[in-house]
Amino acid sequence: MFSLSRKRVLGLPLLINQRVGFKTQTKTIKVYEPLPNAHKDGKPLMDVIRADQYKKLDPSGIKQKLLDSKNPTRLRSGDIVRINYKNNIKPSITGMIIALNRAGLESNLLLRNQVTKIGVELRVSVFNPIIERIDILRKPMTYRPRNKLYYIRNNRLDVGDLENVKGKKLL
Amino acid sequence: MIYLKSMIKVIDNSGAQLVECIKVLRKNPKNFASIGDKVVVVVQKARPISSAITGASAANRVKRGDICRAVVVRTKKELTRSDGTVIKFDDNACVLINKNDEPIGTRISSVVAKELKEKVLIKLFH
Repeated sequence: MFSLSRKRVLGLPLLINQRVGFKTQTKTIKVYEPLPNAHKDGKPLMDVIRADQYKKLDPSGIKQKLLDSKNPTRLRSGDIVRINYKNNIKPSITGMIIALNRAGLESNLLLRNQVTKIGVELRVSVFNPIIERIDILRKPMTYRPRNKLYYIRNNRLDVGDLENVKGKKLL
Repeated sequence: MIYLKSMIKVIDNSGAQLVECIKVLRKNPKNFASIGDKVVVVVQKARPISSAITGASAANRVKRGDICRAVVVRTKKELTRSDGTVIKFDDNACVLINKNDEPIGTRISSVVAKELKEKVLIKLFH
């Protein structure tokens, strides 16, 4: 019921002739400039942002390699690892990985340990900038047939005291 | 998550072994106590008082049915820290205190959360 004027100039109001009943009215509609394309240098914008974040948080690529599914020495549930913090701002954490959540930059490990016979579980983000490195202390001879080892809690398969600590310890 | 009727383990040498929560102090009634919060408890199970224990520790010992206050030191419910790590323990545990926030026992026998240092002003955690 309406016709657009032929010359369409971006950023300028657009004149439209609209027919209402028997009369023809002229209506002004503002036309905005289109949003910038969600691409940067020919690549999707989110990919560029993600690559930038990886470059910032993991410049050497070691942490990415630990999560890479093609790497034979990757982190797997059942491994015993130690997490070391930068400049020793926190004491290092030892534990067995019972779950590995692969979520890109938000990937995290669920570490289980027993301190004075009480089970302690810590969920740690891999790409947290305060983490300097993740050491693999021990890999099992054979892995258990599941990726999430929640079923080992409080039974004979449970982890022992991995870090031999005595007495009171703040965790 | 500790609220009315929760059974909590005691990890100090006050004599109590198992206590029941009857009130979470200074919180909305719908809320629950987490690590560092104070609760009122009833002693449900205590170690028998033997004649071998003498001195200050014998005077401070609690019996079954006693009502006292406690600080929660471990919870099964996970707690998120400011650096993004999440910690959880296998059991709920507490330490008995008196009304002036001084511990009744003299020793803590196992692990407690690090947050107690900042949250609670109790001699034992420093």
